[in-house]
Amino acid sequence: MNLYEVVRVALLDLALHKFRSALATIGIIFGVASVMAMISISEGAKRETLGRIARLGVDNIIVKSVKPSATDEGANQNEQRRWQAEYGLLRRDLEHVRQTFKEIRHVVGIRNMRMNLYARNGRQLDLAVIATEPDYLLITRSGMTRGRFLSELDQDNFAKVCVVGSDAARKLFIYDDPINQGVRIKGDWYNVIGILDNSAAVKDAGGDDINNQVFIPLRTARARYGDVSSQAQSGSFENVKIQLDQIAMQLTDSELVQATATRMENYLAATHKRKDYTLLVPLELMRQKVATQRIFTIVMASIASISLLIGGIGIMNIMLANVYDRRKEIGMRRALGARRKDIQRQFVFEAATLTSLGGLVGVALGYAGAWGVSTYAEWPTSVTPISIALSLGVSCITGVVFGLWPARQAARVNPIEALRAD
Amino acid sequence: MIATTSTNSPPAPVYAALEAPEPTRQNIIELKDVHKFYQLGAKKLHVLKGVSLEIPRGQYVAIMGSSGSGKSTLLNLLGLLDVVDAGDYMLAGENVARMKDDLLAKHRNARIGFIFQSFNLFPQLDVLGNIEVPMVYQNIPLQKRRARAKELAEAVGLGHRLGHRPRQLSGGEMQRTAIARALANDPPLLLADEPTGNLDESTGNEILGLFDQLVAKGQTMVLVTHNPAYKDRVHRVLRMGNGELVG
Repeated sequence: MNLYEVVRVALLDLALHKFRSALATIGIIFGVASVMAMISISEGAKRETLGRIARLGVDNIIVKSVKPSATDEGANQNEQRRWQAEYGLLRRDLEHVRQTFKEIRHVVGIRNMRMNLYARNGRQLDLAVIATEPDYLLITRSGMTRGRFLSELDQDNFAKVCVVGSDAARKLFIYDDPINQGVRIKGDWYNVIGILDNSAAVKDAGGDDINNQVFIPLRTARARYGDVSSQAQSGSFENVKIQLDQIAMQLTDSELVQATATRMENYLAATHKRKDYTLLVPLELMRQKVATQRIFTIVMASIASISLLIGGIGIMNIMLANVYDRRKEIGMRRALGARRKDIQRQFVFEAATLTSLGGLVGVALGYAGAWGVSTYAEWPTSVTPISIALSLGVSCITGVVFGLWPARQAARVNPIEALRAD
Repeated sequence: MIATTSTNSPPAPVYAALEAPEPTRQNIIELKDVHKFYQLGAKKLHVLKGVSLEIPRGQYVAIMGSSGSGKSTLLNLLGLLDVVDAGDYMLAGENVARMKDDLLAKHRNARIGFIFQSFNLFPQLDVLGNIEVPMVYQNIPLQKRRARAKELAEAVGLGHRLGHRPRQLSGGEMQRTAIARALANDPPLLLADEPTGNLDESTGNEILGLFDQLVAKGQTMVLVTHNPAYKDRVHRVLRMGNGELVG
């Protein structure tokens, strides 16, 4: 009995018991639909997360200043009792990178000024003031909707100019044209020279949306405000001396990211007494995220597979009933020359056909579910050909696995007893 | 053309399409001191007690006997649905007494045609599909077996019922379908178990008429029956009693 015959007979038998076949597949339909929906949701979340990391720049490395822990081996106990904390990246670190890291395309120093910002009407606004350099625009892959970004000339002249992010501009000026308007930062008026827009709404390494920030020249900030800032800490204020909050660099090739990050780490370890820095490598983050997400997907799919398992048990149950009901047919087939393996194959294929049909409906239902989740709950979902193939494959395998035992029972039917059965 | 014994019969079937088997002196069946036991709980039943039997090709044989005499067991052994516990069974010159299950299935498919009292047709298949089943297990291509099934269906007078399912057929038509199916692989031996037991007298006579014609063409037939009407139609009557051939 060839494969075509086996499938043909299986379909004919299923068609004879349409209602029972439909009932048998319900478990599989919902099992496959839930597996499919889970994979789609998980895949969508993965793509969203990876997209965010990718927008940070897979060819970027970001070094951040962090307050060293009190137990840090290099910590100076006396220093901890001083009125002012001093830690973080230094200007000479930035200079070292500029001079010796030849694989770097752009590098900028960044200060988060942690100071109040006032609009023309005197309203204090919750916006971050970032002091940085001209290449910041390129590193963050941002564009200008109006005006221009900070220039080298602005740095050299200690110019009191600023660039506002597109969202920040809306908050500051509402309906007015921001260009050439003034913004007051710690008593100084800064002239707005441009509006920055990052279409991907990238979060910077500090987690802020860069469209919601205001940018001033790094040198101006240093000349006017120095390195010391006052930070609110548990109800009191702490003075912190930081030369640079971040060094952001973009490499010529993403292949070099890992090696450059290691080199940077080695350099900082050698020159800083304490671990007052941390490296953010978006590429590495992305790899870790992919690994985490894979585990998440497996866990989600495993949970969904429980319903598939129950569906499979349902199929086994129905197939066993089927074998009992069709003993006479089995006996007759054996009398007409069917071998035990022909009977076994026929019943396995029937189960696999049943679950595959259920799988097809389940995929359609899962697709609809994923669409519903993304439309109404606004969760990102992604239905990939792999998830469809996986769902169908799993449903078919479920049929084979759970159909095997009933099929073996069918093959063991004694033809004499079966032919005598009513 | 087949001559049926009934006067108000359906369109007369054409049997000429079936070729008669070659006349030969060789025995199609030879049983030598065959024993069969069944285990019933702790009790071992001796169902066949040293049955020896020879049936030449082309012979029409009826096995008769009371219930529990062992005639159905004998038919099952002849049909390779069961195996002998002792003795030998030569089918068409080949000892099949100790063959493995798969090989027995192959022999059943090629050498034996079964006709049962309750027809045992497959409800999901139409007349043609039912007749095709034995050919499916011989891997005969679809077109070829369809043509053969059509030829057989017409030969037994079912040319007008080819696409009908069993539930759409009368008892006589169902048994005709079963006969056509039994002939599908042109087996040298036909075995029938009370073939007219579920049919009215007139339809039963039609079926017996069909058997007569098959035998006339050289077909070997062995049937198990309680019906004394067969006595006058068959070449030989074998009587079973208490697991032995008694006449």
